[in-house]
Amino acid sequence: MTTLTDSATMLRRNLRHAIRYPSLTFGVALVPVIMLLMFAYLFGNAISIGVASTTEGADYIDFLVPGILLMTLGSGSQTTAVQICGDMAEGIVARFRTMPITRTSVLTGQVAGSVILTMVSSVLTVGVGLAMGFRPTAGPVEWLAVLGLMLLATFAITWLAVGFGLASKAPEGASNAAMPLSFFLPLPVHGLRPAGVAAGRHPLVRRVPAVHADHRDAARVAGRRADRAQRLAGRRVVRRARDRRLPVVEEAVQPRPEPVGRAASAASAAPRSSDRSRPAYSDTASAYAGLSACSAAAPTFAADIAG
Amino acid sequence: MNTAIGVTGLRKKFGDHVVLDGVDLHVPAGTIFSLLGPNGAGKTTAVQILSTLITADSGQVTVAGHDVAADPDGVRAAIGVTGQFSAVDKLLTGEENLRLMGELYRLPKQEITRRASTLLERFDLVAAGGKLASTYSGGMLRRLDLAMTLVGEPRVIFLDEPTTGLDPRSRRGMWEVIKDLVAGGVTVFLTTQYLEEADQLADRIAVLDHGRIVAEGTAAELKRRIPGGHVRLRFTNVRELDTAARILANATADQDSLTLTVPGDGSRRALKDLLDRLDDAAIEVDALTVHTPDLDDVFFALTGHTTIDQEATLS
Ligand SMILES: Nc1ncnc2c1ncn2[C@@H]1O[C@H](COP(=O)(O)OP(=O)(O)OP(=O)(O)O)[C@@H](O)[C@H]1O
Ligand SMILES: [Mg+2]
Repeated sequence: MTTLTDSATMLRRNLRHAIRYPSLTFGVALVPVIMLLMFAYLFGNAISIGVASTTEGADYIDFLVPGILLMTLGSGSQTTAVQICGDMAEGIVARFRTMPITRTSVLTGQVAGSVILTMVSSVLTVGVGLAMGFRPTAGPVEWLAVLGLMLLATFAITWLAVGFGLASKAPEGASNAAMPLSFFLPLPVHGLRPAGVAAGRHPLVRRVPAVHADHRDAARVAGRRADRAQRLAGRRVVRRARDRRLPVVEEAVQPRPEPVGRAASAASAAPRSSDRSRPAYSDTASAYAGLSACSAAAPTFAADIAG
Repeated sequence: MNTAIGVTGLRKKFGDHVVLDGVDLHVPAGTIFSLLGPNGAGKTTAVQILSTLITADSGQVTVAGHDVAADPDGVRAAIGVTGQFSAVDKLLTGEENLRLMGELYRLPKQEITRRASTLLERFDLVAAGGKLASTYSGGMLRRLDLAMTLVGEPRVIFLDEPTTGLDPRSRRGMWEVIKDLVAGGVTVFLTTQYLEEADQLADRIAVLDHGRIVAEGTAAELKRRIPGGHVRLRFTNVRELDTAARILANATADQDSLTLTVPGDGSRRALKDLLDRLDDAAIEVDALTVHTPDLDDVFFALTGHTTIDQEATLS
């Protein structure tokens, strides 16, 4: 109970900070929208040439929006890591530690705030996408599943970002450490262009299992029950990769990503025990497993909507 | 009398660096206790251990009846800490900072409002209450910091160098606040580098040096152990130093630095008298510094080594 009260107090503190610095907040919230506009209007022509030949009747925007949504998940992580790192250096956190409050509430407040901001950002992205002609075929239940998956994935990524923030000595370091979370994660994945377009033959691309969640498969799965897809998402992706005899999968992601739910809770548990005085890597390793499951699942599902 | 803070055999080292080397303290409830020491003496480390921020290597520490190792939350519920460096949320306003504290103490809404406005008034921050703390001056931050410490109405308060960096007026204001607190039955554990501050406020003073308590007692007891001030003369060569040393019988000469230390209070009369005697002997003085009794003298007297040089150079 006190944990909840304290976390809510810290969340209010966090949201106040966000309101105090609207430029930063809006910046974070708008990055995915800007990416969406950029891919649609700047690179769109070049990429969408391939769309017509590989898919029947779908527009590039229908592939792009889910891809950008995936990018949204990590878009706040650098800010989160920087904020946590900066906060830990502030005297106010030392003060919190001398008060009779739940110790992790500083972190949970920050995570809750970041997740909320990311969700706002996602809604913005979808909204702008709809205005641009995005026409998803998914029903309400599927959308709920998408929302749930995105929440879990954001939750996992944000805790990772918090871990980076705690492990870094300076905000600059935190920003760099968290950089891969916000950019490199979605890029090798097929999110930003339809599967048929370009080859996906680059070694890196071949090694990321989520890449193979392409849209023909997606179309096949789209008919399945959404909840079952969610439950299986993490495992399915890897299994599919194995079916295709891609032994490299094992070294690319952490071995054996866990099912999403359990993985996310592992991810959330990790930073809780992390302590500034020892490297967070041992703790974040388990979170990585969760992350890879979540991030592998998210594009599959995002693709399902588009399909 | 009730014990508010009891410390026995407290030890702490960082790596190989021994910072606290067997400290014993006893602070009765409702009194002000001052830990006096120079930079690096271990004052902040002691406060951090007593306020549950870091753990000791060994020793027994109880605060407000709770053991810091066994029951840190019990300690935290009873204490308030104003650390050496400002512990306010700079992205919030002064009032929001106070309210944040109230919320974390899980006080009812009206009570939070009441305490926040009382404290803003008491610390002369009413006008600044709605402004972001990042716009505050050092003195205002310090006051807000202490106000935040008081939101939870703690019974034991730790103040780590509460007046360092304040101008004389703000310092006096802070002293008044601290005296008021103790009048209300609170116990105050205060660290300072200023003998005068300890003198003004503390019921008892402990002098910390290299992690050990080298003296403990009331201000009057300590001051009896401090010699008066002295005047330091520097010469251009050894011959003049020797001549001067012969004239001024109670002085101590240092051949290496060509200086002569003459006991004296540095009053105008004493100085004139001193310079006249040197003039009569036609000795050229290169530089003269007057040294009034301060923490350095306490240290010199108690430990045989000096701390920081705070002398006022005259010529
Ligand atoms: N976290 C730490 N790691 C390593 N050494 C430390 C740490 N904290 C303090 N020290 C060392 O312990 C010694 C005592 O530090 P402390 O901060 O307690 O001194 P202090 O009496 O508060 O000094 P000041 O008047 O400058 O505030 C210093 O030499 C400092 O370098
Ligand atoms: Mg200190």
